[in-house]
Amino acid sequence: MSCHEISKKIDPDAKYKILLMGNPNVGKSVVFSKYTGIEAITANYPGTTVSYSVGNIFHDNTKAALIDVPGTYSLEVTSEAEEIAREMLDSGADSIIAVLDATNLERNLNLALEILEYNIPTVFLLNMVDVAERKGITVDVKELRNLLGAPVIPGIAVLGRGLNRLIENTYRSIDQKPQYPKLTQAEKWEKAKEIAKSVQKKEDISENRTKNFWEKLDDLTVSPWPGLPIAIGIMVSAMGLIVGGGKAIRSVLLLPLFNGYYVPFMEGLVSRFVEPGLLYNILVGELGFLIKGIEWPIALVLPYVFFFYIVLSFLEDSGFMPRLGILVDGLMQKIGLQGGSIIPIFLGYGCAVPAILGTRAATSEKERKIISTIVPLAVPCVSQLGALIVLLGDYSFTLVLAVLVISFLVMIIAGKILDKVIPGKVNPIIIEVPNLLQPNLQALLRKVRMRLKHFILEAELPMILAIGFAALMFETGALIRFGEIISPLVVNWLGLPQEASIVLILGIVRRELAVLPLMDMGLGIQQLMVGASVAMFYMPCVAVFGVLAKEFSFRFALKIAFLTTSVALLIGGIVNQVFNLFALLGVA
Amino acid sequence: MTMTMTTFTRNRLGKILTTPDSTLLKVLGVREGKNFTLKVMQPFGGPVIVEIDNRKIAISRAIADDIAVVEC
Repeated sequence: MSCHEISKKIDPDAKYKILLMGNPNVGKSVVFSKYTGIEAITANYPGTTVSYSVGNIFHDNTKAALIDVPGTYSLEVTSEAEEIAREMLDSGADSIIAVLDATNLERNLNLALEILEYNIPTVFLLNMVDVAERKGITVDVKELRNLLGAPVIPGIAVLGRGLNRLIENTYRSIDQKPQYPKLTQAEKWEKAKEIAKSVQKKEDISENRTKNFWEKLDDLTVSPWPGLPIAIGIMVSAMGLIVGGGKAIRSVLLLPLFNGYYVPFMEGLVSRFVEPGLLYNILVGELGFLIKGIEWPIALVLPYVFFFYIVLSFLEDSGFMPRLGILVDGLMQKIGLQGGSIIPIFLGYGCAVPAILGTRAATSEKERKIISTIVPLAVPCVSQLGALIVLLGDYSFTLVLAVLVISFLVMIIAGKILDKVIPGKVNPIIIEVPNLLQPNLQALLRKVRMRLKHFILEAELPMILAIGFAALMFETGALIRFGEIISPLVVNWLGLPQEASIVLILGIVRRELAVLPLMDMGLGIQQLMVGASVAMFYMPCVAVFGVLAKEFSFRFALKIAFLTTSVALLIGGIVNQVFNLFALLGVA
Repeated sequence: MTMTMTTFTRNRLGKILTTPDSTLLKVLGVREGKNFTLKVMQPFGGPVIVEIDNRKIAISRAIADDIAVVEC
């Protein structure tokens, strides 16, 4: 039940088990993708891989299982992600590939020494030697090999350089039985420092070289001025790109294709085999799933999803996200969080599943719980956001903004309350700020393509089933009876038409389905706002419920479902009553 | 003269004397004897940004207050 399900099972045919380890953000997942062909999500900040993934690797006609372990600064456990790494090591392996960042050797060597103490054959990849060279850092590989007592292969993982030699050395190392001395933590730091000092040559090139655009931006984006205006500028342009670009593709390309070719084709096809009646209507009628099941996810929502993924991938790969975290840290403290929490919250605008999994990088249980409550409650996922833009944006973009403002308010209030209610304390911010990098266009497009594929695969099936079910209820009259039962709630409290009760059922399956059925009901501005507010806070979809139950407990997931539904109905009702009040005052 | 990281002068080279006991600080290079430069102090109680070994690290002000430093 994950948006990015990658195999976690080790192939029983695999002869060896190889662990891929290293500091966060050194490129382990890049190495993993190159070897296994499995596309793992990578980004330019620590904590992208918070769970391990397993792939197969072939060399010398022998299959081995390669395990991408979450990045750790050390093996002393400070977060869930580090605990996973520790457990993987404790369970044993035939060999370890440890990735070292050539630009930051000392810190990487500390982890290297910790790993060596396990006496498992280890081969080192000295990664990013190109970036190091540009910074004037050269590493004496031979000397490093001698001092560590293990093979060291220099390379550039993104370009695939050094990876053949690396795997050859890894296989060759497997039967060795190394014995490394045990050192205390302080001794390890001292040794790491000494090794780094003797193998590294630093040339001060900062003076005789002009900084490029990204390096200049690097400094500017961490200061409040002009960092804050730049951040706001980036966010506003991102929103503009998603809303404007999405609408352009939708109205110029997809809707004409859909209405002009697809709908007539499907209707023609179905009418050949099916007599007009119940079945015909369920297939291609008003709520026919062959029509809505394609129109809603593909023709309406997908264009916004596409542009959102471009923005998200750009922000991830550039290393801009942690900078945003630093800038908003002071404000986040007010709602019981810390700046670093902005990353999983932002991921939540894509999908709550990776956002909740991403909280494993958080250093306290309290922080995990606050984020995992706020995201399903008040952060609309991309399909839902797309649907809201379709529903409200065609009327006026101000309505979209208004709903987003309400969601921010709820987020703040919820954060404040959760901070009081959940015991414990959130650890204050300590994060590394990665260098700002120009995203690689190919890598970015690959990531967008992979996410789009996931979206289509994961959206389509539940969508078609849910719409098929809705069509059946609609056509058989069951919907009307259900509507009558909950009519006091929907009609009296929310001021919506009785048929709108359908969104409360469909919204459980996927969140955009809490929005899209409202489109064809001829609602006025007041009802649109009420419907949008209910949908915004409504209960998490099945997939999110599943991940909440798995990461925390079934009880926790139930609590979230109850909380979100109550808040949704409460806020929806308040919006309705506020409109009524204004109407009343207007009349008076 | 000893002071804390938050009261240190910006863009001047300093040396870390003592830090609170935190693994995360240590692994990020915030250790006794390390040189650093204070780059930025974020407003609204936000973190301080220091550069250590050519890397920028953001440290919460509450923690930076407990880090004793001295000018180089």
